[in-house]
Amino acid sequence: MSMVNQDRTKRLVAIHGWSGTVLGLFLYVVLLTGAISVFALEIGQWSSGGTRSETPLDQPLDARLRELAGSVDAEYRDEVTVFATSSGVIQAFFHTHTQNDSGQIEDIGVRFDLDPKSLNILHRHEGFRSELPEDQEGALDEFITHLHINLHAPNPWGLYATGLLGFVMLIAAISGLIMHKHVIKDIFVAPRRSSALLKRKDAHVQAGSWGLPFGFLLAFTGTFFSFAGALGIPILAMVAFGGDQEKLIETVVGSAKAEDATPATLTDIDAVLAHSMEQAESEPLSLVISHWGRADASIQVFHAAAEGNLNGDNYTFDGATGEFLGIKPLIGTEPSLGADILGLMGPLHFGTFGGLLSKLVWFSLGLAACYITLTGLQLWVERRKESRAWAWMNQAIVTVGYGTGVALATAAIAFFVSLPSGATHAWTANGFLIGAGMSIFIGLVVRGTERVGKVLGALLGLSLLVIPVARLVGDGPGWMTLFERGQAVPIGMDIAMVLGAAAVVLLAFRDKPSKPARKKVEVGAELVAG
Amino acid sequence: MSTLLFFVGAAAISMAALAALRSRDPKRLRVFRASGTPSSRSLRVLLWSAFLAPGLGLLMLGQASAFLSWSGAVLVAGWILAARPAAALES
Repeated sequence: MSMVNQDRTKRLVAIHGWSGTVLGLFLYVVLLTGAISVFALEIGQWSSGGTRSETPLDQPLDARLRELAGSVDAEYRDEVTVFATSSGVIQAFFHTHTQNDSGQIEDIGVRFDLDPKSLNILHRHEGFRSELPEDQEGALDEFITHLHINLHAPNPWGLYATGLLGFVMLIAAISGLIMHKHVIKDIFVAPRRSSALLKRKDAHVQAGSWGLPFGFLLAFTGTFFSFAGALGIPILAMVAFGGDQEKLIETVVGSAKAEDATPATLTDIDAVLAHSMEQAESEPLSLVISHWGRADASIQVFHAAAEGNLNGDNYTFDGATGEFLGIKPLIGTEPSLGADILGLMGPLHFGTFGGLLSKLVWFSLGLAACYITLTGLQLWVERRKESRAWAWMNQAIVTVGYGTGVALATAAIAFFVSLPSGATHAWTANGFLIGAGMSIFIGLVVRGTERVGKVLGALLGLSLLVIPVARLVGDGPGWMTLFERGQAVPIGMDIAMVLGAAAVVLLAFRDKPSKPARKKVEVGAELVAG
Repeated sequence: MSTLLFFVGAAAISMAALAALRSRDPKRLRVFRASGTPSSRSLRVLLWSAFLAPGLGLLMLGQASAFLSWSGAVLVAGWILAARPAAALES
């Protein structure tokens, strides 16, 4: 039964179609990079030729951190963050907060990069956080993740843009649900082949029907993440804290202890880690020590989610006595429904809660959302194919569809080849631009969407196959070395590239022009369409 | 490990129910003029219940991680299953 009358359906189709058409190609880029970003950790390990340690913070750190603390200015012991990069290198950043040259409050201090096995200092850097050298091995996963988060536009504009795209996806999901009359009835009707238009419509509607729950969920949580930081915090700070965002965060996040600058020896960090690991039943991901050497010192240990859980917890200890103060909620100091709901946003959006299993599921959901976006765009254009003005759009859809993949693949090639030079951040971006430029050139020069699809599909397949070779060219370890070190992730990623290449080529060359199906199918389809 | 076992068990039950729903879906059979008897309304309700029951079970057992993985996986797998043309087309 229809939920709306015919006129309203027409208006909904217009809202659904135009909102998607205007920003659909950007939405596709955000969705594709989001699907790939699910594997950001694995991409990081692949980039660095495997991790140096699976559990870098699960070892005695106390003596080394005390030694480092003694070597920095006292003001930098205001806060210490300790975490491991995707390659397993431990970064200990002793810092305080002060105004930078542009008038913004920023972290300033000394960062030590430590080998996770020997805890030897690999590098020592001092300055504002934004001035410290970037992790060269993390350039690729960072590039893809930032493309998803803010399209590499300066903040807050990039976040506004992706937040807007999230809204577009929400509008499309809701309007699609309202205007489609037979969601359950049609859910098992495979795309009919009696006409290109009907086939595209069926493909889009069916994928949309199955993908609706998670499409809504991913759009909602993504919009939240974009706008919470870019709009929510500044507005709330302006309204309630006279524009002081630091004060707002301090109030919302909550502090367990009152200020007390009396000197006091920091408790045994290893004992704290042992206590939190016993409670959490999972590995520690990071450590934050506040007010080192003062009576109001505190230590927070953030843990990975334990088996079966969605979120890891934040275990808080008194830094002077070592007393366990409790599990710190995400917001406030006491458990609340708001903190629980906020805590769900991350797992629902990132899909990293259940290891490889949930990552594979979320990656598939991301690709399904890409498919829904592209088929929706193609359907909209197919209905207007007689108009010359829309002809370019069809070519653009195919170009962006394959071209984004080509650009990401060439970014990965450039990253690996440039690893020995130490200029990976610049070359990853250059590689992306080269791939995007090649795709746009092909899209402009080659006539006909079918041919553009095949040329770009072949180029994407080839680029994916070149990535593992580029990894070896960039001094990455070979498979035998990786086997000996027990590093499965880089091998798995290499294999995924080969499989991806095969899938893309099959997709590009299988997608033949729609032809009339056999008569009995045509009759059946007309019965329903009519 | 238990999360994986819960997931596999729940997904297997749901996928079996989906396969049964798909094979005798009245509109699918009609559109593709495929052979087979359309399922009755009561059977469809039963099969949809069998599809959803494992998810409810996971929630009741407190298996939040397995539940979310199950819900995402069955929707993607259900779509792939449903998007395959009916047997009549393949022959």
